[in-house]
Amino acid sequence: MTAIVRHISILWLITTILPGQILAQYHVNEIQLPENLAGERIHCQFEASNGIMYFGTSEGLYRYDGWRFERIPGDQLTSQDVTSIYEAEDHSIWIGTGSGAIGLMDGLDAVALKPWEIEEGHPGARISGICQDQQGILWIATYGEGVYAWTGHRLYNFNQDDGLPANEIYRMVRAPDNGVWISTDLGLAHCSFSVNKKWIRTVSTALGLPDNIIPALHVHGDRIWYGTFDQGVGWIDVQSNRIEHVTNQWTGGSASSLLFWEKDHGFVGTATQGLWEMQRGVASKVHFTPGLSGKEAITHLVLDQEGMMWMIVNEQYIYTFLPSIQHWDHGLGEVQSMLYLSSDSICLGKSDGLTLAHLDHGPRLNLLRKALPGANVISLYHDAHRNIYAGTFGQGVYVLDSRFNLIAHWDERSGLLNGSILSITSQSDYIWLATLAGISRIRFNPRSAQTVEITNYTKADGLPSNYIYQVFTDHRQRLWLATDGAGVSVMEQDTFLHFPTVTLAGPDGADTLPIGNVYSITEDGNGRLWMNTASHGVIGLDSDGRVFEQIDRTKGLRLQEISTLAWSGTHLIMVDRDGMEVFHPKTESLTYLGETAGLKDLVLNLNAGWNGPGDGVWFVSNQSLFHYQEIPASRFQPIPVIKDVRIINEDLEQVSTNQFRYNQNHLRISYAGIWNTQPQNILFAYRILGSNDTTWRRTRDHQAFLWNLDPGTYEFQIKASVHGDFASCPQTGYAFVINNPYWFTWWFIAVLAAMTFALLYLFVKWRERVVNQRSMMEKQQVEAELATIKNQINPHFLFNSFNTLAATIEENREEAIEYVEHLADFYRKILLYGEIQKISLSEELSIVDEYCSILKYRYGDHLIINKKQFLPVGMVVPMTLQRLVENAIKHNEISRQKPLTITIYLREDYIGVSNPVQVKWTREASTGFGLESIRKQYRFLTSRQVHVREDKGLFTVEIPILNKE
Amino acid sequence: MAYWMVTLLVWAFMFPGQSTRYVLSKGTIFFRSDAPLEIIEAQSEQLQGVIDPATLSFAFSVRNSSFHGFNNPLQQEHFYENYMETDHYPTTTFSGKILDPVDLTKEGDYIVRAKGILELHGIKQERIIKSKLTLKSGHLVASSQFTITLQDHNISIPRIVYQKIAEQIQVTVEAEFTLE
Repeated sequence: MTAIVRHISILWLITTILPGQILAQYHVNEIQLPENLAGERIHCQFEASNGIMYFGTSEGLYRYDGWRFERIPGDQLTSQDVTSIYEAEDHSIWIGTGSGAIGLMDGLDAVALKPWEIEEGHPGARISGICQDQQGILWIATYGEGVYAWTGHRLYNFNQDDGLPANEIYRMVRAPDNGVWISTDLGLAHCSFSVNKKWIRTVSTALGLPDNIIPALHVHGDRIWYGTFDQGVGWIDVQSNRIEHVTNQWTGGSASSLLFWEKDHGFVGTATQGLWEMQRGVASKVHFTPGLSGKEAITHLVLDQEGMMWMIVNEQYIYTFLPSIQHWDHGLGEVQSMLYLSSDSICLGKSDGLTLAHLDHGPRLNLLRKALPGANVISLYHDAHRNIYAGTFGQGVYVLDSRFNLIAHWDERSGLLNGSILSITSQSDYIWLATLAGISRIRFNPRSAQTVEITNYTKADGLPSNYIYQVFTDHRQRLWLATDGAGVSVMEQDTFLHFPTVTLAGPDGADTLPIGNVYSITEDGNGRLWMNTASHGVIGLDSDGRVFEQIDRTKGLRLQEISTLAWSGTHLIMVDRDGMEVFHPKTESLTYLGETAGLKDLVLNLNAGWNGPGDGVWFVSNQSLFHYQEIPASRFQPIPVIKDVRIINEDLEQVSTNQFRYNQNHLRISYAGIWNTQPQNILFAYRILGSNDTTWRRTRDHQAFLWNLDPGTYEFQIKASVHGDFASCPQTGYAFVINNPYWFTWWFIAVLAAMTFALLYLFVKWRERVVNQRSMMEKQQVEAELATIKNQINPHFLFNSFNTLAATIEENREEAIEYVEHLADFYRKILLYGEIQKISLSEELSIVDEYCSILKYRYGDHLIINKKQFLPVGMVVPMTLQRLVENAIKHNEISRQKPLTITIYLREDYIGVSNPVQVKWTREASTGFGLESIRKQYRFLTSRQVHVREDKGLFTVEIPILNKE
Repeated sequence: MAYWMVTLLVWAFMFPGQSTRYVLSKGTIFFRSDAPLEIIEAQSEQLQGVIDPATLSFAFSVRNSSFHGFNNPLQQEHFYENYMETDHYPTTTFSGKILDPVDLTKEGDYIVRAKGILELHGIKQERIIKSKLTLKSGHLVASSQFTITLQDHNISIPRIVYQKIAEQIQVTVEAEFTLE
């Protein structure tokens, strides 16, 4: 047996030395700048606590929400050269400018910058840094005037006179203990201010600094990292005051920015040599795809809350990349399996053999040589002794020792069920193989390369299926099997325990479903198992086999066929052809990394990922080898931020209130979801509490238009998500009030009601009076009519008339006939006008004439009717003048001795009848009814009075003429 | 006063080669305490000072007992004895260096920030005081306004007169210098 192995080893181990060193690359993305920033200088960048990025440019302060840039206005600060940005503990944003002026925004939702004005005046030199120390003192570094410290009360200056190495400060960082560290051309200094006293401690070459010119400074933990002009980087421990210069062989030129997120892992931006990565004391140049020339000036670095790196390139461009994902373009074509051996070796299994590669701290991938030519390697494994097990398709398993010598080979001839090996694992002294026809257990002594025994298990031995995708050993040394169609099984004490079904929470309560195909299994740091299933996504099982988590589409998983499932330390990593999804069990959030990380169109094989202990997670596509390592991040899902609220019907004026008038009820709310990793994938859900429809509305828009809001109290709530599952997303809100119009206010309604009642009351009163008046008038008229008729058919009048008639007939027949005609005319007129309210004055005068001509027969010349000349215009009540004349005749003596003169005259708008008072011997009984009825009739028709006078023996009645124009 | 003379003498020796210094020829220092119950104002014309245009160093001094113009003699007495303690601390001085790189040989208007030590009531405080300098035909006119916080200089106000004296005293200085 050993002889055959030896023979094969000579035959198959014809190794090829592969030339080539493959550089690690990061996928870089350029941030599209707005047009007005083209050609402008970008001095600095800052991530605010709400995730919004701020940029200081030669054209003012800009903020960027992943979607667009906006310039922050601020009067004279609007287009200043912003050289420094800082967020203080109270969330005010401070900026420093090239001229030394300082501005601030009161909070993260402030709409504008305002100048910072203090008695001492602002510095007169470019502000190179602002930060707040642990005591709350705000420090302002300048290039030319040293450092200023603002205690909230007074501004103090630290300069060369006080012992500062130089007045030109390059960088300033907050010290871990108190105060700040600054860097100059003449070394470093620690400045602090306490007990009203300035403290300065300088560090220069005299104390062991390799170079006094320190253009870059960074603080991480207790270490102050410095970047020198030409000696690379190092650090000072503030606890021990130890100075450790890290780069002894530095070729990167002048450092210009630094950023460390682990004790010995970070980036160095240089002035002319691009970006460098520092890891475990080794500096290596960073390469990017799409390519950057490597000669760039990297002046500013920020690692944001999502773990994304931002860099300012050549003071003109902004680039981002994810330092968590690195790749090497291996150029080997299809890779079927991979193995990660400690921190420096990688084996890649291909259809034509095995490629061995070495990773230097470059981190360059050196393809060393090929082994097992012709072997179709589909699975790889290594044991604790660094022996490599290469499972092939149809050719069994080859075992190589740590020097890549073949030490064993098992195939069907050795006793395996099948020569195709899908998966390999070890369990104490056993090696387990998943073949296409069941599983095999091999007792193997790696030290002596002695195969002791091979035991096979098939369906007949209790296996749920003969087709096992993966054999996996958990930390309790239990063997797990990922089966084809029958879920998972675990082998404990030589017996199989099957988990063919899972109980999942469905829409109709818990549902027990068959698991079906399980492609792979991995274990997390808490000893829980994660299964990659064909139809239920990724299922997490606790150690008793109970489901505690299911990651599928409802959780936002967008991957279809996961090829690699692995645990990276605190996250679960899932990879498929379109990218990578990271599940954070603590926050139950999923992060998708796609094109931003350079992951696109990956051709991946099931075993082409490293699912085992190692430094992060490795997986390999046909083009590239990828390495994912966790970068400290504090945010795993987008933060919704309400950016501004504007009133649409008032020229989109930005408001800082939440009280609106009834007619300010069309609002536009702009919002953003801060997610720099994949800003283009942001989805929003919002709702308006207080409106009729309070359901969540999903949108990709960055604005919501709220039309026609009725008066009331509202809250606009917004969530942002990258995958459309909003259940676990944080939300933010904006509460506001649309006030009632004044006519809905209680006082207005009360006043209106009072006025309505008052008007109604007045109207009713008025109507009542009118109706009363009308009925009174009607009554009066009837009375007057009656009185007239009564008067006119007064027997006395008739008696006299008939007497007159009788006398006249004898004397003059013609005259008698004339008399009767007059009498008949008169009576006809009485009947004619009896029912009419008003007649014209001329008609009335003709009645009087008629009447007088009747009287003439009786009284002859003793009655003189003196009718004055006037133009008869206007109206009178019928029979008024006739009645007055009749009255005069009735109450006065008419005789030859005392002839009666009745005068009818016009005075202004009155018609008057007057006569001298000639008291009769026989007084006729007067009822006074005649005059009174005239008065009453006139009262209804006019406000003018009927005048009755007796003056100097003259009785006068004046009647107002109606309707006299 | 003696202290001041010493300072001037030291100055003279410190810059023996300096023949061109601006020496204060006429100056007024005025202060105002704007408290809820009482406004106290006083001034002194006995301000002395010197500015060296070459090094941008300066020194000012005023005798505390030269302030006059109080509302009444009792107020003046309190000022001298209780607050300023003129017997112990006869002068107030401010000396230091101008932060802004101005050329005080060229005529013009300059806004400068003077960084120096203000010694008042025996307590030294570093201050940055903004001033306006006008240089015209060999004459330098300086004017400045600043505040002094009594607590900073250990001047304690008895509870009883708390509402009569402001925490912050506003000071105005107007001075004319001639080249010497």
